[in-house]
Amino acid sequence: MNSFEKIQHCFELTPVARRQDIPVYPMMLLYPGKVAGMTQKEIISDTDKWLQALDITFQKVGYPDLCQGNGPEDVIFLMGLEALRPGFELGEDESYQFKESCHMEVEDYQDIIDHGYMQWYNRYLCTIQHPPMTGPEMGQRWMQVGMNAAKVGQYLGSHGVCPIHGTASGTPFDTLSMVRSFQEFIFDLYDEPDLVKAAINKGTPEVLGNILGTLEHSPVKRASLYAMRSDANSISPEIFEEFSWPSLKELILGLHGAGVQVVVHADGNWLPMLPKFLEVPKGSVMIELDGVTDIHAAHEILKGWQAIRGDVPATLMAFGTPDEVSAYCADLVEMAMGGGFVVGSGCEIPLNCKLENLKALMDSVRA
Amino acid sequence: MSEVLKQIGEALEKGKRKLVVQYVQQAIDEGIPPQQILTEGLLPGMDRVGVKFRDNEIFVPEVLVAARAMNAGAELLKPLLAEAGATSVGKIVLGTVKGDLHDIGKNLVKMMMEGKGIEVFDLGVDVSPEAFVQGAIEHDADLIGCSALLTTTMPVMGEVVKAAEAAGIRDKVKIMIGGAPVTKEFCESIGADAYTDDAASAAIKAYELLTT
Repeated sequence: MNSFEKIQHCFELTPVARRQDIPVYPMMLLYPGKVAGMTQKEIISDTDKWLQALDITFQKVGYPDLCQGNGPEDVIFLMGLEALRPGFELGEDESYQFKESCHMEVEDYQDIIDHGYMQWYNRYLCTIQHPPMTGPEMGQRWMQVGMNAAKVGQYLGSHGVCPIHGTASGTPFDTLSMVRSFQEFIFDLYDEPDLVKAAINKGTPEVLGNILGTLEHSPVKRASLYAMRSDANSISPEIFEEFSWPSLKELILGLHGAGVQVVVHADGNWLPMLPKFLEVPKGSVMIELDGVTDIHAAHEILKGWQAIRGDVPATLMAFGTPDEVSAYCADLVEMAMGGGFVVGSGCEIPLNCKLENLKALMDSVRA
Repeated sequence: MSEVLKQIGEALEKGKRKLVVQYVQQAIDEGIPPQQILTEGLLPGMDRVGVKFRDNEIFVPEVLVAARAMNAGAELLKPLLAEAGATSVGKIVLGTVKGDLHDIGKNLVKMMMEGKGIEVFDLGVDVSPEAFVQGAIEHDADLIGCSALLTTTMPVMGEVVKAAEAAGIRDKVKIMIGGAPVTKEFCESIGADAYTDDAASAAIKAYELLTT
């Protein structure tokens, strides 16, 4: 099977006949720079450089079935948090980091309700760029994201690798949590629940429309939803059910109805939340787990209904041995043979990953 | 136990900030000593929150609103406690290690530790090993707490241990570490004293280290 077929089979939850038919996806944004001898500053400011670094890395460890659909500069942009950048606010070869601080007031919820979510979000995005952007500049930045994605897609396509998505977006709940800052947002959920809920309700169809509009111009009919603040390390299952899930469900149903596959990037502990994904159509979602959620328990809940990608922990990739990575992956492969499973890294391959560990991950389904 | 002290604990558990403030004020007005209001009202309430969190009965948001209520009540007591010359269980300097700017977990640990009556000196994020040691000396701390979210910054925790040794304070301070990628094995490999995998357990462990 080629990579495209493997991904389709995965979403269709079809058991695989051979280990080699299991899709593999080590998510690599920053690590290729280290392999290629480029600084983080170089790969984070230039998608072409990132693609060069990616290619050098793939040549060393083999080509995966899935890869990021955007380079680091655009992933950071799409995540929608103020970032400290290597070579600017940080050392040239340091990893970028998000700087979380409160960028909105309680009054902004009412602004969203009255005037719309995307106008508020784009205005906020303008303020966190280096340097801050004007509205027209922000429009150009969005176009740049699209052009870069096309470039990445072209490179990946020429090597038989599928982009994980055609576009990506934070969900309104998770975006508000990040922009407001975690603690303030939690207090808002208790102090102003109706206001927060109304802002999320206003934002959800707008985010859906934005994703569908972007995908009209993309050959990859798959969208990633960043939902890193909806896990049980951040909120309770009750809050998830009341505030986050209705919006996430609406997005999944809307995308699925439009023929778009959904990838939910689910860092943290999602175990108590996973049964909710049985409420959305079979094969509509791939859930990306990062090693914090018990993947066996997750598989028990989701198998036969939704796909999973995971979840070799970053700590193992950085400090473990190839034998340890192989043993971990062998366990994943056993689950993956039943279908609906992408063997991959838990979230991102860390900057201090050992190359031989990445090779061991790739070899688990290839050698 | 006085009814109002019980009410303080119950309101705190539910995160009812205004009620906690009201009951603490009532307790003060009734002439209950501030130390007693703290140790028999606020701290037991926060203790129960910590245990429920550790046992996965409640989640971070419930802890945050309880901590907010606790802080509101404690604000009323602070000047009275200072007047009475009350001392804390012990002191910790806490921070996210150099190169790492993540602080949600660290802030939660801070709240949980304050809820155990521990005096916390928050050094913030991007804290160098030297700054941890300097902070520990300056505040005469019993514990150093290091947090990291990145695998690339975890090794700095080992440097903190070495810096404490080099400064000659290692036998005086215990070093605790934590953060999403950190493991017990890593803790042992760098010679730190304690690792816990959540904020409530960190506070319980810190209390244990300070009182035994």
